[in-house]
Amino acid sequence: MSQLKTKHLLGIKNLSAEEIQLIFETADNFKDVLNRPIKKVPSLRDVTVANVFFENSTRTRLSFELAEKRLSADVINFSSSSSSVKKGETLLDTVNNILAMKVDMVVMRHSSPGAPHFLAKHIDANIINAGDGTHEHPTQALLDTFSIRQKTGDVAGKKVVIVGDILHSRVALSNIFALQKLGAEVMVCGPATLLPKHIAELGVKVELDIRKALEWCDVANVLRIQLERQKMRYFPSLREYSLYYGINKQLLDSLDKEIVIMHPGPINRGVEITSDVADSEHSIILDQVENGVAIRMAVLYLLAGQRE
Amino acid sequence: MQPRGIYLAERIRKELEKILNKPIKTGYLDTTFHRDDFRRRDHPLTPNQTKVPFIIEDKNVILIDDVLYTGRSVRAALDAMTMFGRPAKVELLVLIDRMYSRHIPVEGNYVGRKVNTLPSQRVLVELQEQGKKDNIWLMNEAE
Repeated sequence: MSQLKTKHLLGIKNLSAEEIQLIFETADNFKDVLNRPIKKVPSLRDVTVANVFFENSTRTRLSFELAEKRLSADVINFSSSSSSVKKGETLLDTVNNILAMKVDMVVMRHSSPGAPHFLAKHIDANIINAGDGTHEHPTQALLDTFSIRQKTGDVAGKKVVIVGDILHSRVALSNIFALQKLGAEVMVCGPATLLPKHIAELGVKVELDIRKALEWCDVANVLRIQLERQKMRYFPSLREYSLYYGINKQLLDSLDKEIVIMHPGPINRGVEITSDVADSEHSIILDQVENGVAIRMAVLYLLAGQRE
Repeated sequence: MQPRGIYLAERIRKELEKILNKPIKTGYLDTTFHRDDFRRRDHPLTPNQTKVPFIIEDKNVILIDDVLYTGRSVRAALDAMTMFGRPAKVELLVLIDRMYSRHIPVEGNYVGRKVNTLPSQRVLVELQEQGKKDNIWLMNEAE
């Protein structure tokens, strides 16, 4: 297999295991490039990419922008807070205006689930979903599973628990799809109010007790507690959440094994994870960030290369 | 040059080290990201590993590949090499030179055999290192 079957990367759901492996193998090569003194290749020099962000982002936008520049693409950035979206322009009009400037690829983050799928039906450019509401965040799941593969050798057969706010998390859903396609066992763990009602139908284990979850798993992917949703009363207080679901050193030390700790960022230190865990040798949080650039280079390269 | 030039390079290195009695550095160069036909073919090429564990600044370099055809891979290789420094001098060694088919002005300094071929034909080099017998095939498209 040497190419993706799809023109867009909208989610992990429609990717096959072979396609994910192809992205990994391509990313391996880009990791080599990123470790050279000159970290740039000319592949996308006649490609223009628009990063269209209708929602805030630090990591993902910087990571995409760096990946595009390392591939020599021309890059334009757009964020809704400083644009005519505030004046009432529709999504389709906004993007069509950007495309009229001869843009080949669109990387989009939007607060509405399905926004990139809608766009893919109506416009010609390649679309990469950089997060759509609470739905999917495919490149995050790819870099997470790529990091597990790098740390442990293989994703297949691993037991991975995703901890925290599963209900609002696009990272969780994309991770569940990616991990299952690659042959890992998946568990979700969090307070019942933050677990979607029918989540078990995706074939994941559900656990309410963090200690039992950690005893079961090889890898724990700890999600951010979204402070902005705190006022909606999904749990009584941050301190209480931290007490029941926070991962700290005492808890990890009391297990009779070592587990790999991941976090997609941004971290609320002292809430879902304590500093001594986030900065410990079991944590691969910064590897995830580093791998993010190589994964996004691979996705951009594979999608751009299909076009005539 | 990946994928088959690397095996030839290893063989030639061994012979040269015997004759010259001094170590010779070898690296593997993959040209995929530097090719000029990206987005002009149906699907992207699968890259191979690049392994150049030394700086080629001021070195005399021999690029080694199995078949010289249009010359475009060599152009990409020259481009890819600049990522590792500015060589003093670059020469080209190929096993097979498909004559009269160059798209750009590139010629081999050391050529195993010159062959006159049709554009519709394919030259396939198979090497022991790939788990096959050493063979060079001239194939018509239909085969």
